[in-house]
Amino acid sequence: MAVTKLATLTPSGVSSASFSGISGSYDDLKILGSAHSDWTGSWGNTKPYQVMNIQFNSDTSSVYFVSYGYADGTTTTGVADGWTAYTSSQEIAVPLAPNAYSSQDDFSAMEMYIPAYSGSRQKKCRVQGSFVTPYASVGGPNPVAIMGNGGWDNTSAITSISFALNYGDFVSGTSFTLYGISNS
Amino acid sequence: MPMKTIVDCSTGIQTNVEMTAEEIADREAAAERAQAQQAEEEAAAEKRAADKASGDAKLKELGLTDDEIAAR
Repeated sequence: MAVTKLATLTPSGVSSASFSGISGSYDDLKILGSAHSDWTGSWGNTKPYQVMNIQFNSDTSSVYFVSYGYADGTTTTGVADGWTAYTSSQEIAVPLAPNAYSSQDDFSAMEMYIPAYSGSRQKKCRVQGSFVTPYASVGGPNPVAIMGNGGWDNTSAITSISFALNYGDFVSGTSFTLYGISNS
Repeated sequence: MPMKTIVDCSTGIQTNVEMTAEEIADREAAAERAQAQQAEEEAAAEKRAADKASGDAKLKELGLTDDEIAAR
């Protein structure tokens, strides 16, 4: 197996970031990233983080699906956990972007794997990540772990991938690095 | 106007460009979907907790101990 770094995105002060012009020369794609938003509000008025919307080829007409498990909190602060699954015609939305709830909030650590991204079948991906928000000094710690998968009911080769926030902008330090994986 | 960052993998060049009106509208719609999804999840979690508390109380009335209820 060979791993080739294709590009790094370092968005700051923007709400959306994209890889474009992805070559079809590899077998699989892998993305390692870290995100944080400057949004000072909360998601659903209760969560100091928000979803990150993932789109392939800027497509908003095919069906996307997402299914992820989550664990949020500790036995001290209280644990919320469960499984969420739904379809969308817009994006794969996974909670992977802690907000600026406090200056001590964490950057997420995320990983995404997309096998056979240029093949002729429908596309799928594994997405996982974690972050801590807030820290003990502001009511936490509240570790959040996400493990899930997404799909895109489209047989086109993936040539672009975007990550977008619903609220606020990515802050400096956010990064996404795309790798091409060759099986031979 | 909100901006977005794009990196062209064939050149490695990163640029910031303005989002289109359609992209901005998509973002606003995504925020509404996220709010609705979150509200749905919170309502389901509250119902699960209420159902569990109600069920536990009924089991206790039947004579089960806390340990027996927890072991189910």
